[in-house]
Amino acid sequence: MVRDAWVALAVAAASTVSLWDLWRTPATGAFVKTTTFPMALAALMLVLALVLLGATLRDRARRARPAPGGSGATVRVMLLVAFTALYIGALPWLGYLVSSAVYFGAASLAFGNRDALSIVIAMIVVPLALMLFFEKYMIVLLPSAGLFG
Amino acid sequence: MIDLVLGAFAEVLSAQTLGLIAIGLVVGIVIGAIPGLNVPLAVAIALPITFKLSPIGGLAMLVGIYKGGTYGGSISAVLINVPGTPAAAATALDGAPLTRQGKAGKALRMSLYASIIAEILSDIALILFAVPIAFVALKVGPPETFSIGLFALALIGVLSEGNMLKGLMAGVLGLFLSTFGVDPLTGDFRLTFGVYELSGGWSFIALVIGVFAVAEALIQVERRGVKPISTGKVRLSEPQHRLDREDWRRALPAIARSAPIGVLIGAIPGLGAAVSAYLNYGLTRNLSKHPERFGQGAIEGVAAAEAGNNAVTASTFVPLLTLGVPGDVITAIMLGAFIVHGLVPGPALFEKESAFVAAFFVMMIVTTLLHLVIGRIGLPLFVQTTRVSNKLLFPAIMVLSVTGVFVATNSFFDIFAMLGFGVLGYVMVKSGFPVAPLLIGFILGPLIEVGLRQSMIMSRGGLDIFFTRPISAVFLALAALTVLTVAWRERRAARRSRASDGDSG
Repeated sequence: MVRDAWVALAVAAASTVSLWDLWRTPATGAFVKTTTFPMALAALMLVLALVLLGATLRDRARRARPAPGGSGATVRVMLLVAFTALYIGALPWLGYLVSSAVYFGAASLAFGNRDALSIVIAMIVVPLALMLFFEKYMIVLLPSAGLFG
Repeated sequence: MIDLVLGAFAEVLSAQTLGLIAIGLVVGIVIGAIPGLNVPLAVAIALPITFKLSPIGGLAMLVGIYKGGTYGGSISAVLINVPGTPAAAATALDGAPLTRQGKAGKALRMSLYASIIAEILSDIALILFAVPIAFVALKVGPPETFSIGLFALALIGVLSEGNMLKGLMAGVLGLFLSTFGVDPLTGDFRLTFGVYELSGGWSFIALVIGVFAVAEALIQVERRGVKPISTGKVRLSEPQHRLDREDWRRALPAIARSAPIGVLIGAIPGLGAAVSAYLNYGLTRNLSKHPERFGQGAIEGVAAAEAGNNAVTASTFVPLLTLGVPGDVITAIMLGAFIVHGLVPGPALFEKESAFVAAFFVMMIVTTLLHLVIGRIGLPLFVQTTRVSNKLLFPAIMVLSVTGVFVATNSFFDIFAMLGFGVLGYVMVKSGFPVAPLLIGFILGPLIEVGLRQSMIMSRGGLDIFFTRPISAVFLALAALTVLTVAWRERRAARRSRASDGDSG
């Protein structure tokens, strides 16, 4: 119940911000303007979010269920998101190979892998195999290490 | 006539052409299975190679990549819930649950066989009915596109049964996300919030990989310690991996319905495999007596999505061959291969190059048959993925997802967007929001908006244009019928629920 209320509030806030932005955007085009369709959708989202919020608050019988695995699980999810954000941010600086290898190791630990040998082997093999496949066979360049020139 | 057909068979069944088809199929299946790498990219890379080959040999390889790639997306969708192509996202909805139930072989088999049956029907339709199909496709203008889009959108309701409000919210959010960036008609910017990278809108590949692959990884990291689905070597001969009579009884009607619909969708420029897959999936669920099975591992869901997906592979050539108009990106690239070899698609092609046209038709069917052989050989290999430990598999999926989005978009912003969509997908799953309506809304958004606005310009602001054109009117009626059916089912389910609450109270 609590989660639904938060989701509804988030959607309502995003819809309001979008409506405000669209309101200030110059409307051009014939009959149906540039902003008409997205404005209609944002308004519809706002209405649906408010309906969900109302239904959630009215339905007091339902109670929030704890996530499987407890708070440790939530920490792991947040850790994985943080690791991934750091990985993406590090790509242009450390390059594909180094950042992917480090990320792979960190993500493996987050997934509960404690076998050091399998982690080290996979840290080398997975990024290297992907890099060879994309760069040598698909002729697509992956991020190079800006930090090392 | 007989000489023409015999000559065509002799050319296509040569070792060189068969080898090129096989190479194309293998490359296509591998490319299709890797998120981020798409069929147009593979066809574009292979195009220069075909310039040195015979016209049929070169086109055979490209068609092999196309057919293999369209099917390949379903392999990763079924095995690891990561659709290799956007169209395969519909396959993941029931394919991935089947894998979690230890029935990966069943899902992969159905995915392959439904694809092949639909491809054969599509090939036959191309050969026998190319001209009438092109005639129908030509009748589809902006009002019809809008009505078809609206009908497909109405199917969102079907996919949201049991939780209509959340399904509607997800669908509207998908539609809304598709409106970011440049207005397709006026070229004006909207909803960019001053962010340059948003001027092109949200990347569809980032959305698909985010809500499926990243969200799945976040769910799995929560359940740390979950063992791999299979521990020993997986054998396709085991009963849970085989298709039984009951599976075929459920799947055959879905394939029989989805394939012709997919053929028509493929012939209409601008619609494509993803629309066909979702439309057929939704339709099959709507017509099912047990819609509650969908999303839980319904074999007919896999069959409908895959048949719809692959039925477009031959019919996309209808406008190209008959009118010289490429209907999508892939046929537009292939047009280059035609022209380099001095072949100009259009009505004259059938008169002046009848030997080539005959060989092309034979090549399409031979490619489908070889697709069956290569796909079947690959199944025992693909299914071994279920043995890989989640502790190694999901970190690899995350690296592959980041790599795939970078390869597809060459943008770090889009990779961050993928992570954001992953969190969104995770929150949606945890809060009971269906993910499919979000993707359908995103696919259909541009179709519906452009169709609506162009129609309004055509009719100078009058809404009657949607009701006076027969095809448009039919699809609007079908959309209304779908909404009414869903509303009736919801009401019936609510009554039953109230009655059972009363009994237990």
